[in-house]
Amino acid sequence: MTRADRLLLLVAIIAISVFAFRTWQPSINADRVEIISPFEHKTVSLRQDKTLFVAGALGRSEIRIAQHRIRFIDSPCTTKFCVLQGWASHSGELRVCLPNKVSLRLLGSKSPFDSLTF
Amino acid sequence: MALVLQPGREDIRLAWLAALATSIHILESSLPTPLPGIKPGFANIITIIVLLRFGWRSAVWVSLLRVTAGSLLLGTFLSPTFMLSLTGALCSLSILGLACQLPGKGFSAIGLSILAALAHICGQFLLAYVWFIPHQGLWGLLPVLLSLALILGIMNGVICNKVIARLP
Repeated sequence: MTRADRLLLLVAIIAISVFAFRTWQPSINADRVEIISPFEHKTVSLRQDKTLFVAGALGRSEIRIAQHRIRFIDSPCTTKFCVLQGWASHSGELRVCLPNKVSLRLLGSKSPFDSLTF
Repeated sequence: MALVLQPGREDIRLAWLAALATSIHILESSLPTPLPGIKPGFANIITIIVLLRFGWRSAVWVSLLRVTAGSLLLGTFLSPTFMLSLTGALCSLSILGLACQLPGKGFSAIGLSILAALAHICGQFLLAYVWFIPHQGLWGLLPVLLSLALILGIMNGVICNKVIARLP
């Protein structure tokens, strides 16, 4: 190994460790949810508990917001995977009903990453 | 009028080396992997050895011929797999080209192999992120991929050194 090799190895180990540390920060609680369906595209706050009905490709999906969390309660799809996925509360999480084409994307006030550079 | 291409000594040598790299590439593709995108990259050993013995231009030929011929034989030519493979190869070749410009003793096979492995995975990751899965969650996987690339890069570098020591 030459001196350049050792230096490279050191820099690579440090860079990967720092990157891993920054990427794997604990996730941030979401405060908003982006709801996307073929007919609607809106952002709803998670602060207020409520039940929403969103029109999808097959029919109405029932979505419940409670205690800063969100989940599908009912859906016209046959598999009900969206309902089985349960609650989502962290920024960046997704709940999707593919057959009904309704998706929920949780947003935090802060992005889970401060910056991403190479 | 028949067009006759007369291969020179250089061309024949490149063809042999590319054939060797392609064989390794194909053998390697039959190994099971724990995660998609993780591969030992043994074919890169040939690229590094060619780079050290015959220069960067030969390494580019061998590497690109390997990616093209390998994908043709595996049936992935112009598929997403091929695109990932090609992007990785182009990224690592660019980095290797720069690394060779270093004055003094510069990098040995180990350093070059680490650089190639890291550049390879970074290029592939960016392509995958931009083209296939533009989801933030993907970034969580990158440190794992980079760590593995570093370990496999060191391993390949050590193999390179052993092979070079035995070459006439």
